[in-house]
Amino acid sequence: MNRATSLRYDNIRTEFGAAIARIASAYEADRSRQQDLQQEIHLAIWRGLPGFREECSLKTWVYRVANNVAATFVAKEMRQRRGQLVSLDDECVIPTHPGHESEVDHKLRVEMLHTFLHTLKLPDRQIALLYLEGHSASDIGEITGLKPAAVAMRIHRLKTVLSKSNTQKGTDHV
Amino acid sequence: MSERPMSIHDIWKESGFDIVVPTSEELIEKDARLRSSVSRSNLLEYVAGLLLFGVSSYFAAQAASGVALAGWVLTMVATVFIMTNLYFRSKGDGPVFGDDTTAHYLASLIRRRDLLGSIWKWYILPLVPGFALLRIAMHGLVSPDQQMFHYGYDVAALILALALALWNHRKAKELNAEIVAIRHLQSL
Repeated sequence: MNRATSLRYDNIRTEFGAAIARIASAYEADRSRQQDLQQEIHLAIWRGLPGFREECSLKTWVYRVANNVAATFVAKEMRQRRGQLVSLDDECVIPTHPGHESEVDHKLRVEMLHTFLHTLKLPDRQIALLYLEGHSASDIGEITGLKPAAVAMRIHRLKTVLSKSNTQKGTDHV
Repeated sequence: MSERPMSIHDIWKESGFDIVVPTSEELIEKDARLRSSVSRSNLLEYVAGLLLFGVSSYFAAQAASGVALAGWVLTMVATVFIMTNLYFRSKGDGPVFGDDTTAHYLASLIRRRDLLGSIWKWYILPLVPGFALLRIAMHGLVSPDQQMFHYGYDVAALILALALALWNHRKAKELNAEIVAIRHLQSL
């Protein structure tokens, strides 16, 4: 790896370190395995960087690599839970915690979001995660390879699920 | 003045996560570890193949009948065929993680479905003729009162093979349903 690539990796590490941690948490529930997954993502970025041909933005590439490594990392577990995973087309709900409906603190909201993400089938999980990360429908389309209209439809379904849950209470918008 | 409520994106981003930021040295070390663990698991397959080849050639040299000799020789040929296949399959390029996420996932599902459909052809089927001849040779050696036990063994092996094939077929069908759903999503 040459010096320019090495510097580029250092910038990615600084700029996307937190996003990579969030992506790992959306795929893997176990905390120690989340850390292993983060390392695998960093390794894939570090290995793949010399071959990055700027056919998309660096941000798109990093999110693609991170999601693909994470999907591979949890593939076996997802195969075992195939019957339990749901799509946004199904009647899916974000689990609520009894006694906290009126005022759900941030930590609990994030826990509920994680539980929800872990129950989603892969393409929907990726769209939901990228939406939570604040990407636009066209950015999500570029990362996932889906057409913006298809992404917009999934986001609409996601917003419906979110609006039915108490993760939304006290927030200004979906 | 009341504070502006947080958006769902802010809540998601501001939650606490254990961030791991490996240094270049740690990555170099992990890279080397990963490569050696891959070669170790490949090596294990080759050692198992070599062992089967060695055992087969030992028994072929001592075969009591032409059928048994043919059985052991066919097992040796099958072992070479399987090992060659393993070598060329493991030589392929590693996964490309820069593809869009749907294409990457779709490719992984197709790979798995095709593997389920083909593994018996190059990993199990080549061993069948040799094993079948060895069973025939063995039937010729056992006393008539032990024949029933040996037939029972053959039937049990056949049932196990059929159950495995059915299980593979069911898994391949599930994967196919998922592949169709993702292709539909891509076409929207």
